[in-house]
Amino acid sequence: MDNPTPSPNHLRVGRRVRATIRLMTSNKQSLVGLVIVVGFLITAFVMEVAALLNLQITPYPANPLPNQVSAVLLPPSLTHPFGTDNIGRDVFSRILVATPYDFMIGFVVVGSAVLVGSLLGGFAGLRGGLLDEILMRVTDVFFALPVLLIAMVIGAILGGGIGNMSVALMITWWPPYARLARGESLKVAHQNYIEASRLSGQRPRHILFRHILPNISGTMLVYATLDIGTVILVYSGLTYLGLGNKPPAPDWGQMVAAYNSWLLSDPWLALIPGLIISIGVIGFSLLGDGIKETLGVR
Amino acid sequence: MATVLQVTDFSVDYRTSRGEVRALDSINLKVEEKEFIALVGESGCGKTTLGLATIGLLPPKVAKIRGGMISYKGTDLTKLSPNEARKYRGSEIAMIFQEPLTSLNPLKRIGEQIGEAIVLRRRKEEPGVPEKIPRIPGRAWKLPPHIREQAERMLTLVRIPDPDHIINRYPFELSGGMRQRAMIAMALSQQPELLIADEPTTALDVTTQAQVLKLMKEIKDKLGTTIMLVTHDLAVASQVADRVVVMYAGQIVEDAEVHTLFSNPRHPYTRGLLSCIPTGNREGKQLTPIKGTIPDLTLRRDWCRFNPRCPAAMDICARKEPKLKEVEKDHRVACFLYGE
Amino acid sequence: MNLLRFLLRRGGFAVFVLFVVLTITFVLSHLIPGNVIYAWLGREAAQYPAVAAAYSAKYHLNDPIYVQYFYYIAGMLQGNLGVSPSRGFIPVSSVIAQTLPLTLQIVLLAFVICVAIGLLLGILAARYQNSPVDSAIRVFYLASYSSPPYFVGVIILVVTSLYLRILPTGGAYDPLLVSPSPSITGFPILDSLIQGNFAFFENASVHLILPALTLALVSFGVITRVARSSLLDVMKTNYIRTARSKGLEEGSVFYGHALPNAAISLITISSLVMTFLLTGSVFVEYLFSYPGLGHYAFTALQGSDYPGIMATVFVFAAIIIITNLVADVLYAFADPEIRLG
Repeated sequence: MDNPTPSPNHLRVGRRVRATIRLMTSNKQSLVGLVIVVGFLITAFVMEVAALLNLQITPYPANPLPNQVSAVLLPPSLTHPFGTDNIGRDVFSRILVATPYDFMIGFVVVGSAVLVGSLLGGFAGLRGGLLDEILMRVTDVFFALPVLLIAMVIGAILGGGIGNMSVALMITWWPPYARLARGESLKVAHQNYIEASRLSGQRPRHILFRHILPNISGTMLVYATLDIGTVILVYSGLTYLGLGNKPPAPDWGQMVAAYNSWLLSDPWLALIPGLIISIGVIGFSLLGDGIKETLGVR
Repeated sequence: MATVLQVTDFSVDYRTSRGEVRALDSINLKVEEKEFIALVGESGCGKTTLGLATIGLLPPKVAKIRGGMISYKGTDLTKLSPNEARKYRGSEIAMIFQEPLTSLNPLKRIGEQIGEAIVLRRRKEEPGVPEKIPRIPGRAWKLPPHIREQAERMLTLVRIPDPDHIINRYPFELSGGMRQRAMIAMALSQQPELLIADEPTTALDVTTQAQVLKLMKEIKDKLGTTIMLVTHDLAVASQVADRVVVMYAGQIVEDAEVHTLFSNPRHPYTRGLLSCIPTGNREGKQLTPIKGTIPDLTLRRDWCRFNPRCPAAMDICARKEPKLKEVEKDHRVACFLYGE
Repeated sequence: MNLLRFLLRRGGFAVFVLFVVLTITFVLSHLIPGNVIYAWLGREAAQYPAVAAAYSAKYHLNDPIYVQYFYYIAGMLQGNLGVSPSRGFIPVSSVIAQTLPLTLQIVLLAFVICVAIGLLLGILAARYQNSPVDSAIRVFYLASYSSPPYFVGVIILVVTSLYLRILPTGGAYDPLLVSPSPSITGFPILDSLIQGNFAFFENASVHLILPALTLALVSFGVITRVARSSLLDVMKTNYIRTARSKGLEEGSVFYGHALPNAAISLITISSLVMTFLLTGSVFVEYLFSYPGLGHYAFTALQGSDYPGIMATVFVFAAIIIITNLVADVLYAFADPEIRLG
């Protein structure tokens, strides 16, 4: 789109935020997704604050002491909405406590991927030449590798836990964003006002931040939204494999694995965390797809 | 001469994000057998829409017919069911499009695509005979011999050299001009009565353009096909058409035999168009473009659409809508300059 | 000879990527906190100095790093992948030889099911766009790619073992009922078929169903989505309009012109699907106690069996890279512009 006199950045940011919110509520699909996502977000935020303040706001402690447990293996009821597990811990509370980790990791990983990818890709597209070539080859290799497996191995080596796994995932997650940003950057880099900016002696970094980055399009928003769901899915898989927080700290995926032995006798134990994960991911899928439809982007 | 096409009070609306746009407004047109008629106008004037409507390929979700009819040899095409309308497509009314590369299936060889048209024709002639549409890929690919022979004949007709070689080629292996000819060959394979050509030469260079136009004239003369050419280029129309219909903002403003139009243009828009054409003998003189732009078609107007840009505008032009009127033999104009 | 150059380039790239994977696993094995010996022998065995010394000498673990790298690559290429602490120190390569065919059996079956379901639903959704059918299908594929494989597996397990009880829920076969035939191809199912051991063939095949079905169910979503959107895109093209202008029936237009053109974009997706299937097999095999490569990866991870982990990652990577290459080749043949241009 031709933009002969770009407006000041701060105005654009405000407009952009409002436009994004409008986008997200634009159709029924994305609205449902947004509701789900916001629901999880609020839960995560509240739980995190509680954790930082060392408050227990869940009906039962998530990591109870032996004298704090309830009866074991209770099916879902009014007092225990998701039942209790084999040690008598309230499953509902455990799921709540795990939310800040299992849900927010999506934002952390994708956020960093967007940042790193946009900078690398935007810069490469602007400069072109050798830098661009190198970036393309590197992303090619990443695309050909099974990055999940490699993240798994990195995680295994660094040891489990959310910190290490976040790092492992962040290392492998940025290439698609670099590609997207490069594409956008290439499109914009040849427009006239960029040439003007360049000719007037502006440094590439300036051009990058003020002109290219703010224009990175809806494609990336759609992709990132869907991607957050993917990260949640992947991380839950990693915790299932035992690479998450060490027990007794709860993680959704880890709970499914841990409760595997009671599958036939008390199926809700393994089913409910899995269901929660699916709902979370579906929320992002709906939101992302909804935005995609409104924007008409591929 | 028999009338092939009779368009009566035909109107079409398009549904867009900005509201309903009246793409065609009460069009009245008559096309005779073996006539070469050119629909001329700027982008957005509705000429392509008229062509698509005739062959029944208006985009179903966005286009709505709001009234009138298009009568082909006595049958109202607009009232037909989709299945019935389909029977006219190809065998009675054929169409060729502007971009020959994207309008041909990139994964099928030329021979296969032409062969498909031929088979469709045969099926129509002998309804009981279900011939298989050739769809065999690979090097050993062969059309049934009688179909192949006919396909080669069609390619020769459109003056494509080496037809037996071209038959095995994919569209991307041909030049723009050859692709367009191949499309014409494909359209003619079904021996249609009416051929609609939507800007067939716009994507071609000038020399090729001239060749294709010449070819189209030959087709009209040799096969007796009625041709409706849609173009924005008056010069192109002047080279080949028998009759020229000038459209503006969804309406017909002038309809005349070609020589008459060029020697005696009546409508101010037509006159404006003619003075825009760069010709050799205008050295030193400026091109006079027509002031202004086409109107917003979402708004309904009960007055002359050209009024804001018209150098000869009068009071009445802002109050009433001019209707097509015959001002001399075979010359119709919609303008208050020639009476109410 | 554009085709040849294209294939050579893709082949060369595949080999390059394999080397990158090898290098990554090599680097990673040296990043393990503690001695490199721990990585190869596991902590317990590394306590025994004699064993540790012998191992170090044999695998040049005391030499400079580029020497180690050389021997590492050479070893890998010859099939020497070290020994597996979590499996009693038998060579990793023999573990892989036993488990890989089993995983491939599941993955290939899952691939077929997945493509069949995915294509079918994608075609239906495109043909009846925006109808209730389309919406229903959308719900399905949404659920498909949003659900973790172990969750779907859990549901299937619960349903079949508690309620349906017709399919076995674990293992590769019932050792009490049948036994496998001697190995010819390395694939137990094929071997039994070739040698007429139909009891085993039947039993083992039935055990394949649930794991493969689970894998397929979490992977078909992507195919459906891509098939649907690419079909819809194709239906909007000019050449489809031309096909209609010839008077072709909608059915022929859709199946004769649109579908073949859309199918090409599905080839590129298939390697992505393979990635899903392989990573999913780790979870599914664990859940169904199916002794394949995924299961080995799982137990190796839990047992800190680094040779095992890295070997399985390498094998998975190799499979994915080969699938990519095959997809590239198929694409080159399907697209006339690459084939001839």
